Amino acid sequence: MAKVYKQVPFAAIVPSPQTENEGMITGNWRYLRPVVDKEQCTECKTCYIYCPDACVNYSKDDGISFNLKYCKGCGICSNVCPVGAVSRVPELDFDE
Amino acid sequence: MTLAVAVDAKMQEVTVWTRGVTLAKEARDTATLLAKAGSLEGKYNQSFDNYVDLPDRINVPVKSYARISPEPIETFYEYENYRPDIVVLAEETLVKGNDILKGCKDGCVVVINTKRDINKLIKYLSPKENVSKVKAVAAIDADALGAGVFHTFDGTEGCIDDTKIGAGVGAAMAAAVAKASGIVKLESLIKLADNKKAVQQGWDAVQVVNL
Repeated sequence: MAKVYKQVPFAAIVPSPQTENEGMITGNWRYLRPVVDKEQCTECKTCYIYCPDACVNYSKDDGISFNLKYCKGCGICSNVCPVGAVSRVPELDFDE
Repeated sequence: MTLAVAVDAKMQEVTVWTRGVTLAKEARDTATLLAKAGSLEGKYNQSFDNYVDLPDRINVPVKSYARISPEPIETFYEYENYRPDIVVLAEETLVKGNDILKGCKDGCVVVINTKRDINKLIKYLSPKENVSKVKAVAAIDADALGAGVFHTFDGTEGCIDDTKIGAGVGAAMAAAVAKASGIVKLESLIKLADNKKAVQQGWDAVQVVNL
Protein backbone atom coordinates (compact mmCIF):
# COMPACT_ATOMS: atom_id res chain seq x y z
CA MET A 1 0.00 0.00 0.00
CA ALA A 2 2.73 2.41 0.94
CA LYS A 3 4.51 1.74 -2.32
CA VAL A 4 1.40 2.54 -4.38
CA TYR A 5 0.88 5.69 -2.36
CA LYS A 6 4.38 6.88 -3.22
CA GLN A 7 3.75 6.39 -6.92
CA VAL A 8 0.88 8.90 -6.87
CA PRO A 9 2.18 12.35 -7.84
CA PHE A 10 1.87 14.94 -5.11
CA ALA A 11 -1.00 17.35 -5.77
CA ALA A 12 -0.51 20.81 -7.22
CA ILE A 13 3.01 20.14 -8.43
CA VAL A 14 3.88 21.31 -11.92
CA PRO A 15 7.17 20.56 -13.64
CA SER A 16 9.65 23.31 -12.88
CA PRO A 17 10.94 25.10 -15.96
CA GLN A 18 14.66 24.40 -15.69
CA THR A 19 15.67 26.94 -18.32
CA GLU A 20 12.68 28.55 -20.02
CA ASN A 21 8.93 28.69 -19.47
CA GLU A 22 7.30 28.73 -22.90
CA GLY A 23 3.92 29.34 -21.31
CA MET A 24 4.87 32.75 -19.97
CA ILE A 25 6.85 34.69 -22.55
CA THR A 26 7.11 38.26 -21.31
CA GLY A 27 9.22 39.85 -24.07
CA ASN A 28 6.24 41.77 -25.48
CA TRP A 29 5.79 43.65 -22.21
CA ARG A 30 8.92 45.65 -23.02
CA TYR A 31 8.86 48.99 -24.80
CA LEU A 32 12.37 50.12 -23.85
CA ARG A 33 15.11 47.63 -24.67
CA PRO A 34 18.30 47.45 -22.55
CA VAL A 35 21.42 47.92 -24.66
CA VAL A 36 24.88 47.46 -23.14
CA ASP A 37 27.83 49.55 -24.27
CA LYS A 38 30.66 47.00 -24.36
CA GLU A 39 33.37 49.69 -24.13
CA GLN A 40 32.01 51.21 -20.91
CA CYS A 41 31.02 47.88 -19.34
CA THR A 42 33.45 46.75 -16.60
CA GLU A 43 31.77 43.31 -16.33
CA CYS A 44 31.08 43.83 -12.62
CA LYS A 45 27.87 41.76 -13.11
CA THR A 46 25.76 44.00 -10.87
CA CYS A 47 22.94 43.80 -13.46
CA TYR A 48 23.28 40.00 -13.48
CA ILE A 49 22.62 39.94 -9.74
CA TYR A 50 19.77 42.47 -9.76
CA CYS A 51 17.75 41.26 -12.78
CA PRO A 52 14.47 39.93 -11.29
CA ASP A 53 13.88 37.53 -14.20
CA ALA A 54 17.43 36.26 -14.66
CA CYS A 55 17.50 37.69 -18.17
CA VAL A 56 21.13 38.84 -18.02
CA ASN A 57 23.64 36.37 -19.41
CA TYR A 58 27.39 36.55 -19.04
CA SER A 59 30.12 34.84 -20.98
CA LYS A 60 33.87 35.50 -20.88
CA ASP A 61 34.03 36.01 -24.63
CA ASP A 62 30.98 38.21 -25.24
CA GLY A 63 30.49 39.83 -21.84
CA ILE A 64 27.00 40.89 -20.78
CA SER A 65 24.01 40.09 -23.01
CA PHE A 66 20.25 40.11 -22.45
CA ASN A 67 17.65 37.40 -23.01
CA LEU A 68 15.15 39.53 -24.93
CA LYS A 69 12.56 36.73 -25.12
CA TYR A 70 11.78 37.24 -21.44
CA CYS A 71 13.15 40.71 -20.61
CA LYS A 72 10.20 42.89 -19.49
CA GLY A 73 12.12 46.12 -19.90
CA CYS A 74 11.80 47.06 -16.23
CA GLY A 75 15.04 49.05 -16.39
CA ILE A 76 16.59 47.83 -13.14
CA CYS A 77 19.82 46.86 -14.97
CA SER A 78 20.10 50.39 -16.30
CA ASN A 79 19.45 51.87 -12.85
CA VAL A 80 21.94 49.77 -10.91
CA CYS A 81 24.80 49.95 -13.44
CA PRO A 82 27.62 51.81 -11.61
CA VAL A 83 29.20 53.11 -14.83
CA GLY A 84 26.02 53.80 -16.80
CA ALA A 85 26.81 51.31 -19.55
CA VAL A 86 23.22 50.04 -19.93
CA SER A 87 20.95 52.39 -21.85
CA ARG A 88 17.25 51.97 -22.71
CA VAL A 89 16.34 52.32 -26.38
CA PRO A 90 12.76 52.37 -27.77
CA GLU A 91 11.82 48.92 -29.02
CA LEU A 92 10.64 50.15 -32.43
CA ASP A 93 14.13 51.45 -33.24
CA PHE A 94 15.08 47.80 -33.80
CA ASP A 95 13.88 45.70 -36.71
CA GLU A 96 13.72 42.36 -34.95
CA MET B 1 -11.28 28.83 -30.34
CA THR B 2 -14.74 30.15 -29.73
CA LEU B 3 -18.30 28.94 -29.44
CA ALA B 4 -20.39 31.34 -31.48
CA VAL B 5 -23.76 31.07 -29.75
CA ALA B 6 -25.26 33.89 -31.80
CA VAL B 7 -24.09 35.42 -35.04
CA ASP B 8 -24.61 39.14 -35.28
CA ALA B 9 -24.01 39.81 -38.95
CA LYS B 10 -24.06 43.60 -38.73
CA MET B 11 -22.16 43.93 -35.45
CA GLN B 12 -18.86 45.81 -35.59
CA GLU B 13 -16.27 44.88 -33.01
CA VAL B 14 -13.56 47.22 -31.74
CA THR B 15 -10.52 45.93 -29.83
CA VAL B 16 -8.37 48.51 -28.07
CA TRP B 17 -4.92 47.25 -27.04
CA THR B 18 -3.09 49.12 -24.34
CA ARG B 19 -0.49 48.92 -21.59
CA GLY B 20 -1.66 47.84 -18.16
CA VAL B 21 -2.18 50.50 -15.46
CA THR B 22 -0.36 53.34 -17.24
CA LEU B 23 -2.72 53.58 -20.23
CA ALA B 24 -5.58 51.24 -19.23
CA LYS B 25 -7.90 54.13 -18.45
CA GLU B 26 -7.31 55.67 -21.90
CA ALA B 27 -8.18 52.47 -23.75
CA ARG B 28 -11.30 52.06 -21.62
CA ASP B 29 -12.22 55.66 -22.51
CA THR B 30 -11.80 54.99 -26.22
CA ALA B 31 -13.98 51.87 -26.10
CA THR B 32 -16.59 53.57 -23.88
CA LEU B 33 -16.73 56.69 -26.04
CA LEU B 34 -17.24 54.69 -29.23
CA ALA B 35 -19.96 52.55 -27.64
CA LYS B 36 -21.76 55.55 -26.13
CA ALA B 37 -21.52 57.45 -29.41
CA GLY B 38 -23.13 54.49 -31.14
CA SER B 39 -25.86 54.59 -28.51
CA LEU B 40 -26.48 58.30 -29.23
CA GLU B 41 -26.96 57.39 -32.90
CA GLY B 42 -29.63 54.86 -31.99
CA LYS B 43 -27.48 51.74 -32.26
CA TYR B 44 -27.06 48.89 -29.79
CA ASN B 45 -23.73 48.56 -28.01
CA GLN B 46 -21.60 46.70 -25.48
CA SER B 47 -18.31 47.83 -23.93
CA PHE B 48 -16.10 46.03 -21.46
CA ASP B 49 -12.54 45.14 -20.49
CA ASN B 50 -10.83 41.83 -21.08
CA TYR B 51 -11.43 39.81 -17.94
CA VAL B 52 -8.55 37.44 -18.74
CA ASP B 53 -6.02 40.26 -18.59
CA LEU B 54 -7.07 41.42 -15.14
CA PRO B 55 -5.65 42.27 -12.70
CA ASP B 56 -3.38 44.17 -14.98
CA ARG B 57 0.24 44.86 -14.14
CA ILE B 58 2.32 47.82 -15.29
CA ASN B 59 3.03 47.79 -19.05
CA VAL B 60 1.46 44.39 -19.67
CA PRO B 61 -0.54 44.23 -22.95
CA VAL B 62 -4.27 44.41 -22.04
CA LYS B 63 -7.41 44.91 -24.11
CA SER B 64 -10.69 46.80 -23.95
CA TYR B 65 -13.63 46.01 -26.20
CA ALA B 66 -16.60 47.75 -27.80
CA ARG B 67 -19.38 46.29 -29.93
CA ILE B 68 -21.74 48.40 -32.01
CA SER B 69 -24.64 47.09 -34.05
CA PRO B 70 -27.74 48.57 -35.71
CA GLU B 71 -29.67 45.48 -34.55
CA PRO B 72 -30.04 44.10 -31.01
CA ILE B 73 -26.82 42.30 -30.04
CA GLU B 74 -27.33 38.64 -29.23
CA THR B 75 -23.69 37.93 -28.45
CA PHE B 76 -23.68 37.75 -24.66
CA TYR B 77 -21.40 34.90 -23.82
CA GLU B 78 -18.22 35.91 -25.63
CA TYR B 79 -15.98 37.85 -23.32
CA GLU B 80 -13.40 38.73 -25.98
CA ASN B 81 -13.69 40.06 -29.52
CA TYR B 82 -12.53 37.07 -31.52
CA ARG B 83 -13.32 38.71 -34.89
CA PRO B 84 -12.39 42.41 -34.64
CA ASP B 85 -13.34 44.93 -37.35
CA ILE B 86 -11.23 47.67 -35.85
CA VAL B 87 -7.97 47.26 -33.91
CA VAL B 88 -6.69 50.25 -31.93
CA LEU B 89 -3.26 50.42 -30.32
CA ALA B 90 -3.01 52.96 -27.53
CA GLU B 91 0.77 52.57 -27.49
CA GLU B 92 2.93 52.13 -30.58
CA THR B 93 5.24 49.32 -29.36
CA LEU B 94 2.26 46.95 -29.07
CA VAL B 95 2.43 46.47 -32.84
CA LYS B 96 5.57 44.40 -32.26
CA GLY B 97 5.31 40.95 -30.72
CA ASN B 98 1.52 40.83 -30.31
CA ASP B 99 -0.88 39.06 -32.70
CA ILE B 100 -3.09 42.10 -33.04
CA LEU B 101 -4.74 40.92 -36.29
CA LYS B 102 -5.70 37.49 -34.93
CA GLY B 103 -9.11 36.54 -36.31
CA CYS B 104 -9.75 39.91 -37.91
CA LYS B 105 -12.49 40.33 -40.53
CA ASP B 106 -12.00 41.49 -44.11
CA GLY B 107 -11.72 45.27 -44.32
CA CYS B 108 -10.11 45.57 -40.90
CA VAL B 109 -8.91 49.03 -39.85
CA VAL B 110 -5.84 49.46 -37.62
CA VAL B 111 -5.36 52.72 -35.69
CA ILE B 112 -2.02 53.31 -33.94
CA ASN B 113 -1.18 56.04 -31.45
CA THR B 114 2.25 57.02 -32.75
CA LYS B 115 4.33 59.91 -33.95
CA ARG B 116 6.51 57.61 -36.06
CA ASP B 117 6.16 57.13 -39.82
CA ILE B 118 3.17 54.81 -40.22
CA ASN B 119 4.67 53.09 -43.29
CA LYS B 120 7.54 51.80 -41.15
CA LEU B 121 5.15 50.22 -38.64
CA ILE B 122 3.16 48.21 -41.22
CA LYS B 123 5.90 45.56 -41.48
CA TYR B 124 5.43 44.65 -37.80
CA LEU B 125 1.73 43.71 -38.19
CA SER B 126 1.15 40.07 -37.26
CA PRO B 127 0.00 37.37 -37.95
CA LYS B 128 1.25 37.86 -41.49
CA GLU B 129 -1.53 35.90 -43.21
CA ASN B 130 -4.09 38.43 -41.95
CA VAL B 131 -2.26 41.53 -43.22
CA SER B 132 -4.04 41.16 -46.58
CA LYS B 133 -7.38 41.65 -44.77
CA VAL B 134 -6.37 45.08 -43.51
CA LYS B 135 -8.10 47.89 -45.43
CA ALA B 136 -6.39 50.89 -43.88
CA VAL B 137 -3.82 51.78 -41.24
CA ALA B 138 -4.14 55.11 -39.45
CA ALA B 139 -1.69 57.04 -37.28
CA ILE B 140 -2.63 59.58 -34.64
CA ASP B 141 -0.23 61.35 -32.29
CA ALA B 142 -2.74 61.31 -29.43
CA ASP B 143 -0.07 61.76 -26.74
CA ALA B 144 0.47 65.30 -28.04
CA LEU B 145 -3.26 66.11 -27.99
CA GLY B 146 -4.17 65.10 -24.44
CA ALA B 147 -2.37 64.40 -21.19
CA GLY B 148 -2.56 60.85 -19.86
CA VAL B 149 -5.10 60.29 -17.09
CA PHE B 150 -4.44 57.67 -14.44
CA HIS B 151 -7.50 55.72 -13.47
CA THR B 152 -8.93 56.35 -10.05
CA PHE B 153 -7.76 54.34 -7.08
CA ASP B 154 -11.04 54.30 -5.17
CA GLY B 155 -11.57 50.63 -5.96
CA THR B 156 -14.75 51.09 -7.95
CA GLU B 157 -13.17 49.81 -11.18
CA GLY B 158 -14.72 52.61 -13.19
CA CYS B 159 -18.24 52.49 -11.78
CA ILE B 160 -17.84 55.97 -10.35
CA ASP B 161 -15.20 57.67 -12.42
CA ASP B 162 -14.35 61.18 -11.29
CA THR B 163 -11.65 61.56 -13.95
CA LYS B 164 -14.45 61.90 -16.55
CA ILE B 165 -14.66 59.99 -19.82
CA GLY B 166 -12.46 61.21 -22.64
CA ALA B 167 -10.35 63.67 -20.68
CA GLY B 168 -6.99 62.54 -22.04
CA VAL B 169 -5.37 60.50 -24.78
CA GLY B 170 -8.48 58.35 -25.28
CA ALA B 171 -10.56 61.20 -26.71
CA ALA B 172 -8.20 61.87 -29.62
CA MET B 173 -7.91 58.14 -30.32
CA ALA B 174 -11.70 57.71 -30.46
CA ALA B 175 -11.94 60.55 -33.00
CA ALA B 176 -9.16 58.97 -35.07
CA VAL B 177 -11.05 55.65 -35.08
CA ALA B 178 -14.25 57.42 -36.09
CA LYS B 179 -12.58 59.11 -39.05
CA ALA B 180 -10.55 56.10 -40.23
CA SER B 181 -13.46 53.64 -40.07
CA GLY B 182 -16.64 55.74 -40.06
CA ILE B 183 -18.08 53.65 -37.23
CA VAL B 184 -19.57 56.67 -35.39
CA LYS B 185 -20.01 60.37 -36.13
CA LEU B 186 -17.76 63.16 -34.89
CA GLU B 187 -20.69 65.13 -33.43
CA SER B 188 -21.64 62.30 -31.07
CA LEU B 189 -18.06 62.02 -29.80
CA ILE B 190 -17.83 65.78 -29.20
CA LYS B 191 -21.09 65.62 -27.23
CA LEU B 192 -19.74 62.87 -24.96
CA ALA B 193 -16.02 63.52 -24.42
CA ASP B 194 -14.74 65.78 -21.68
CA ASN B 195 -11.86 67.12 -23.78
CA LYS B 196 -13.81 68.30 -26.85
CA LYS B 197 -10.80 70.09 -28.34
CA ALA B 198 -8.76 66.87 -28.40
CA VAL B 199 -11.61 65.09 -30.22
CA GLN B 200 -11.70 67.75 -32.94
CA GLN B 201 -7.88 67.79 -33.22
CA GLY B 202 -7.73 64.01 -33.36
CA TRP B 203 -10.28 64.05 -36.19
CA ASP B 204 -8.18 66.62 -38.09
CA ALA B 205 -4.72 65.17 -37.39
CA VAL B 206 -5.20 61.49 -38.19
CA GLN B 207 -3.23 60.15 -41.17
CA VAL B 208 -4.87 57.26 -43.00
CA VAL B 209 -2.87 54.97 -45.29
CA ASN B 210 -4.99 52.69 -47.51
CA LEU B 211 -3.31 49.35 -48.19
